[in-house]
Amino acid sequence: MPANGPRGGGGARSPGAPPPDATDKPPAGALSKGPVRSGLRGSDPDMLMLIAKRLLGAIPVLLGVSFVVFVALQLVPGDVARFILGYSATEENVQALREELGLNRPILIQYGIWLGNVLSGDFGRSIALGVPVTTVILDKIGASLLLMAASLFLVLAFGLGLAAIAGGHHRSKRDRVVVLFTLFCASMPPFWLGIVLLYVFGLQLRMFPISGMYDMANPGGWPDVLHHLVLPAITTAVSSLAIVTRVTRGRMIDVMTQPYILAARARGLSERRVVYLEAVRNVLPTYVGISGLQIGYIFGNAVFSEIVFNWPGIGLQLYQAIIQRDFPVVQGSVLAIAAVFVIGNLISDVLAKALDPRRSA
Amino acid sequence: MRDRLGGTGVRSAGGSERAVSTDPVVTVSGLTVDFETERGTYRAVNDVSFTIGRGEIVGLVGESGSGKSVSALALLGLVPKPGRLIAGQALFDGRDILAIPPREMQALRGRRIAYISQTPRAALNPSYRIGDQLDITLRACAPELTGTARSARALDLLSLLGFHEPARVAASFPHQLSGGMCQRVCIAMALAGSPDLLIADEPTTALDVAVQMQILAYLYRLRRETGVSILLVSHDLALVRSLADRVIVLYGGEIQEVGSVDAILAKPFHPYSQALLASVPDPSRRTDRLAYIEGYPAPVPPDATGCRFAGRCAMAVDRCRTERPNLRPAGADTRVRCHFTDVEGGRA
Repeated sequence: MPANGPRGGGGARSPGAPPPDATDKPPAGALSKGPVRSGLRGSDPDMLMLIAKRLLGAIPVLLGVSFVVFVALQLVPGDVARFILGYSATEENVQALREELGLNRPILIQYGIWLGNVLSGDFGRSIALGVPVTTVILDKIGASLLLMAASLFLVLAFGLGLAAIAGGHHRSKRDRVVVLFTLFCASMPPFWLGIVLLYVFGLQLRMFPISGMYDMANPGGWPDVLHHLVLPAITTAVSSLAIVTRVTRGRMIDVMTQPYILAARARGLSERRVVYLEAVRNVLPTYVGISGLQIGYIFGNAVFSEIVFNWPGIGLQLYQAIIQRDFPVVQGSVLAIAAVFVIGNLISDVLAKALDPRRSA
Repeated sequence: MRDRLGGTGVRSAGGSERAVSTDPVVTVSGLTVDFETERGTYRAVNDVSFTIGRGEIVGLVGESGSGKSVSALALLGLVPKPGRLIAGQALFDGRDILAIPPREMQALRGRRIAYISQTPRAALNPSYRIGDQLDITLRACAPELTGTARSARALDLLSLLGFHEPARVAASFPHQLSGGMCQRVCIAMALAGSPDLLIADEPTTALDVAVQMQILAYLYRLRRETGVSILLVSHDLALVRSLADRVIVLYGGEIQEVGSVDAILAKPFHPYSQALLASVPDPSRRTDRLAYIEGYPAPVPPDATGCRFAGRCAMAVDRCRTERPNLRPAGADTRVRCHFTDVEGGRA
């Protein structure tokens, strides 16, 4: 309660006047177009503006990522032409191939040529496979997106659930259990966790297959794929799940101290409705925002689980391309990953904004 | 019953129509609340006893930290953390609502005992439309209503609080409404049940003066037309004077003076009440200085002795610091906790 002293006696002594009509109207302009609807609407100019801004902002991000990777690949030890031709090839042949691949030109020229080709839709050909990079990526990205979607689903579903249970009952037993669980999840490197899961649930308990996307001997359609998906998805999800749960729980604890929670209790709402109806709604913008940021980490972790579980995705392809010095595939894969990252963040930003009714222009 | 809320006009300045029955809606006795902080245990409310009659408006007055909000929230079973109910009884409907199971207390909240807060906008969920929040409240307070009946009732409640376009208000978010409109929405939600007791915790503090009067007018009409009892928590003596029938003056978690509003505000006995009244600026007299009470209320440990106000009291003597005065009759219908009520025939 504010500490200001009692107010002037004259004012409130005779509250006789009926409520003035003027105050019945909402503040000027606030409702002039009718109440604002939350949710995505194509006609919302603010939202379109945000999307346009973010798409424009994505261009330098993608350029920067591709350039940094391009330069970094020059630093990888070993000569591409030598690698392709093998160590028994003559120096002249290697030089000839270098010339043919354009490897003797300055880096900026090489990058400019690559960029020009990319803008016209040509990502080059895979050195190792001899097919266009676009074919390689389109071939593999489906499996990666499936793995990412499954991991993201685990992160979204369990992240919000655990955060609500823990933050809604701060310092309770279940809160402590959740905090301990997230600490455990955050401490698991995905390559190590993948190997442990593979050993325990794949080799020992034989509950899940240990490798690939289909049962080679007896492929069984979607159920088979989902069965193969379980362990890699968990491996990919855990560290992001820990972060989403922790951040959302923190916001939840904060929301639970707000006056509208006390007011909701005073209105006779059950504790369950207070937590899961009144409080959870207000953590959604935070939750969606932090989940969007996790998309990049999920893709990064997916590379590890694709390698551990031999999941035929873009991460495994990228790993193999790096080993084989297949630079066009590395470049294309990284660009595809960056594009997924940018689009994922854009979607989460738009969603987070749409979920906050007080959003500004 | 809320259809009778249609009339206009509130009590005139004189306040002639105080038809208050003596049948108490709630009887509080020995309410004691401790706050257990890292720096020790403090007594926020100590041995507070009072009754609120049916249809009565009781003002609970005191400065910040006097324990008035904690006392009010205790009646809702919502003592804020780290507070803990140490002792006390509150008879409501023949049951001690401080001792009943949480589930039963939850059933009383909203339906029989309602609450409006000092921060009307913050008391509304920022993410839901007013109509949805009313619907959630009605779901809890009037479970017998069906979906369409609930939406009709929600619009009715908004109309009763003077909104001429209830549908438009129902479709708005709290941030699109003014503070006064938010408080009217909060009162509408408080009426979602059929409360016998309304706890109004500084209902006008956050509002500007014109809107304050409007809210007071609604509270007064509400009492007259539904017979609801109101516990009006406030530091604003002018507000209490204009609305309440009786006043409880709280200091340091203890009742210092209790009696009819006319008696106490015309002729306060307790030095604290006197000082509180003296610090209300008088617009008819020009002065360079505003009167105030020196110092701040200090946190009190549970085993404190002496008068809680002794440290700031101009009249304090040694006895005040060592011996706790009892609440004693000091007039027709006034009781005061001060050693000086003995002398001069009960007049300090």
